[in-house]
Amino acid sequence: MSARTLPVRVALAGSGWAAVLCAGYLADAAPLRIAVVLAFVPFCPGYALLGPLLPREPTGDRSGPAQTLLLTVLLSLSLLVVAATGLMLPGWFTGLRTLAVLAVTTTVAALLPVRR
Amino acid sequence: MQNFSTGAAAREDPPSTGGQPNGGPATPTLTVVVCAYTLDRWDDTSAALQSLRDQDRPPDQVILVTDHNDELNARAGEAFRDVLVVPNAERRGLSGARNTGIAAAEGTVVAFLDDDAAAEPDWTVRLLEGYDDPAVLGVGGGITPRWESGRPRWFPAEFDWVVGCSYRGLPEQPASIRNMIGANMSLRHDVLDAVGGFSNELGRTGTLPLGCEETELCIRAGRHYRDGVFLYLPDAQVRHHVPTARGTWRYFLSRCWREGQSKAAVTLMAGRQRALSSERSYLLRTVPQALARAARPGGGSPPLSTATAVLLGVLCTMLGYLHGGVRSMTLRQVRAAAAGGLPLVAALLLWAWSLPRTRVDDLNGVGLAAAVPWSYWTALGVLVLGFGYTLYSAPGRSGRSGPERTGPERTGPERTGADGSSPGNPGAGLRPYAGRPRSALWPALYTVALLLVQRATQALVYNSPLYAWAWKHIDIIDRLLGNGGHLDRSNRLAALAPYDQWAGFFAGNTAVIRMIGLNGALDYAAWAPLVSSLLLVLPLLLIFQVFSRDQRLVWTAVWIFFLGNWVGQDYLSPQAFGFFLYLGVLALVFRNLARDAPWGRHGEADAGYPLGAARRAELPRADRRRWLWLLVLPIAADAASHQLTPVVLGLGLLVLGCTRRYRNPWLAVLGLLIPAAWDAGSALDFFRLQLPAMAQSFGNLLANSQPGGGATPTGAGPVFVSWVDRGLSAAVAAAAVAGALRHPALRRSGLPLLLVAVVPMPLVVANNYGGEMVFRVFMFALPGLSFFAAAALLPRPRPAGTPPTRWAEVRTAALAGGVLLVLAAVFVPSYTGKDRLDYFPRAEIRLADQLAATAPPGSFIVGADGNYPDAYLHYDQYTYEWLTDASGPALRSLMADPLGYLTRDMAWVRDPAHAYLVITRGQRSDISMQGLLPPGTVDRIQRAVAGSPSFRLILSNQDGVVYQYVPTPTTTPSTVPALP
Repeated sequence: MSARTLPVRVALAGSGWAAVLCAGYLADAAPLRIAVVLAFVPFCPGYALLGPLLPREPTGDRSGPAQTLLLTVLLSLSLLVVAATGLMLPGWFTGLRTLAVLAVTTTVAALLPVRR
Repeated sequence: MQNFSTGAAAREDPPSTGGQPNGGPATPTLTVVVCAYTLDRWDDTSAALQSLRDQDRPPDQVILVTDHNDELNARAGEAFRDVLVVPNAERRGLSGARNTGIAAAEGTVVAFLDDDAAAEPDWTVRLLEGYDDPAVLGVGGGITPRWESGRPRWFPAEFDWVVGCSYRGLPEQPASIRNMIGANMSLRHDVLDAVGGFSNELGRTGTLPLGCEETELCIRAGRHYRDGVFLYLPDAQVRHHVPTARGTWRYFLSRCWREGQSKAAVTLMAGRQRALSSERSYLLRTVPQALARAARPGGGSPPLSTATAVLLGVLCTMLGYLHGGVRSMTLRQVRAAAAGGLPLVAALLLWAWSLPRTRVDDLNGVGLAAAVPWSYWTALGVLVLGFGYTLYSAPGRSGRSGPERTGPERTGPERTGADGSSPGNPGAGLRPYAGRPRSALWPALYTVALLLVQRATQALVYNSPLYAWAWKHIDIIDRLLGNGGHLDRSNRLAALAPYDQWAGFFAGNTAVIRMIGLNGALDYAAWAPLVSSLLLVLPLLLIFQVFSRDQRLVWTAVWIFFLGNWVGQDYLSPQAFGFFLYLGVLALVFRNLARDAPWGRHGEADAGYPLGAARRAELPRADRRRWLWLLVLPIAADAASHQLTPVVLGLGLLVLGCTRRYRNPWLAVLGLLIPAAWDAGSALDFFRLQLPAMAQSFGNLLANSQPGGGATPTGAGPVFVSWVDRGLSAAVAAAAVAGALRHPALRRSGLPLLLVAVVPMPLVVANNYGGEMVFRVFMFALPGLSFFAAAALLPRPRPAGTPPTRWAEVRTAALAGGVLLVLAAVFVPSYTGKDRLDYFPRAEIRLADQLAATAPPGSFIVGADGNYPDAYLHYDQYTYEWLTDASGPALRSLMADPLGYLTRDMAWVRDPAHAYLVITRGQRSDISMQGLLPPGTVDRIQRAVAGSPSFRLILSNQDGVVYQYVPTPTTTPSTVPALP
């Protein structure tokens, strides 16, 4: 997480909203829409969550990139499922709302202080 | 052992690695080396030497090295009498010149100043202050550019390294750095003696700016003295003359390109990890900041051209790096890359060639295995052999003894001593495998290729997703898309109610389809087997690496997993997603929630076992708590997505939490409470309805362990396939037992893995799970089985001092290759053997879709069985009945008088809604291959219906028929003769 600088965090915080804009304004299945949504949903929320949540690596630990990638995808897909199901249960579900929930989570997580 | 020439005599000589050079004398003596190669810079060189004379503390010795330029040498010798002028005695170039200077230097510290740089008066004082700390190997200072014709406005300060100066992004306070910049640096003479000066392979020759020689030297020295540091003192300033020619775009870009090339050369010499560590942070931190700064209004630089310079600079450097990497490959490396890459490329080409030559319109009882051409099998074979070669050949010994290999302890927070050894250095008597592959790149590429060949073939040769279940899941997602995501958690949807009660996976799919704007899951369902299998690679690797440091064992286990995983639970399904979550959670638990347990009788020896792994160290309590929090989300997603997986995961975590090495009550609480909470909330209705039946079947081992729910493979093909797939499972299980017996140390250290493999097995007793429990239990056990099965292929490591013979290595590789070949061959019929009943041609799909378009809500749909595509389109509007579900008296009644059964005994007779009978190709295949009804029954039913006035044929094509039931008062039971 050492490389998580302000520009990276700002980009991360904005990524979800870019996806929301694409999903909201581009035509169905437009290539850009597919690319932006698929770049965001399986990666960004989980990666953002790792900032405030991931325990610091013990000195000399390099379980590094592989574990970070697994966590990123695992958390992102889990969050997608929990958000979509959570919206369906009370009957509030739409695709855009689910995306907005992911975007809010990503933004908040990206702007929270990184734990060291 | 280095020889510290001064001041070190009284001290004990430290080991050559892990130590630091002894501090110099209380007052170090300083030699400054200036290298010059041209008369063109005479004024600059004079200024450089003058700045040394003007120092507050003048150097003890100044050496001017002239680089193969006799005229310069002669003129300098006359002009600078106070300076030792020597010609370069080595190869032309900056490295050789500097080495010549080092050889002539008498000071305990040697500083280097460029011939076009001028030092500030306090330069030497500040540099030498840095050497007060004995751990300091060298001290570098700040370099400010002195632009001949003013700084170009677009030139980003982050790229001042292009003109050999300190750039923005370097520390602004004294700090330890990886390498110094050549124009202003100094090292202890002892360090230079010990590590052997600058490399002649790198370094500028004349004006050719192929630099990085100082980077390589610093990396080399840093490796030699593990505790040594290089100090950067920004205040030890020199001013670097930057001629007009260097402020141009052309120079900027070409210098970036060459910097990339140099970096590639450094990588080759010093290893990627070290060579690129600073560059990574530069890319991730400094470059984004540069862009942000360029974009800021009033930043003093034109935003567009500055940002362009930053981006082009990065691009050029990267391209140069790639180019340099290719260009600087040695013949041996080219040969190694060819040996690794050729089989991979050949296999993929063969595979691609096979695809259009696979005939799927007439599949037989062994499915795709009989439909693919020879090239498919060859591709698979070449892939296995190539994988075996890259994994089992020994580049560690035949190649350069790569210093970048930092040994097995590089992959995790393992319990190791400061010197990198395990406590007590156990297992020191055993010899680790010398030939570990240098990187995981080849095995990883081969694994991806294997998954393509295994699990993308069907997506490419069939024009629709396989499996009626995949179609059912597509239909469920379609319903959620159509009704705005309204879940019905009652039992109204009957057999399909659980999909709403555990809706997580479907909800996630529905959301993504809406976000992207697709029509439905049909657009991508065929690729689900490939994607869900790719998702498993990382968790499997991370799990296996916890228990073994041997890359052969780890990757062979990954392959055995994928070759043994024939059970086809990888299609678009909640269980495939749940399995990813299951393995992901286990990987994180294994890696991060270990506890310090007593070592036990064998513990230390086991941790040192070459095929095993050092124990994971216990993380601080607060960190373990954070890991628990991180696990909440995946466990919750799992609980919301599937019935069975969370139960298996919860039990696994419970059992793990009871072991001493993973004792953690909260783990079990999380694993069990979250699914329980979900089941009690969302899925309560299901349990109200199903608990009595579940209680009834609990403990009925014979019935529950019966695979396939009463299906009996019928016909030569299906019987063969069923023997082959059972044989495959049995072989993996038997190999796992053999592996556990062969390596007692692995058995003990891999106990947690063994436990989670065994935990699901009792579930066979508990529930039949629609005839699938045996397959599911096998799948959950497979990761553990694969690990020990792979271990069975590896010999016990030999005692130290007895290197394995060439023959022994060949035998190991041959055994592994042979076994993998057999598994790969057997996998194909096991995995695709039922494709005749799982693949649905377009006509069959069209028939089902037309039926769904015809049948009004409230209709009754009867099928020979449910094995046809889109059977569940609009399923919330229909009632279903499958004739294969009939048993006991009902089945006897159906067999005795099909028409009578259909017109008298079935529920649709009492309910005068629209009613339809569907008979399709897929149903027939399913029924005949699985023996679901006696042979000929479907034909008898169809003929009886065709001859009856109560049924009207409404849809028909080559793959099926649909009759509408139109009850007439005159309907009488008829008798249809059995077919011969």
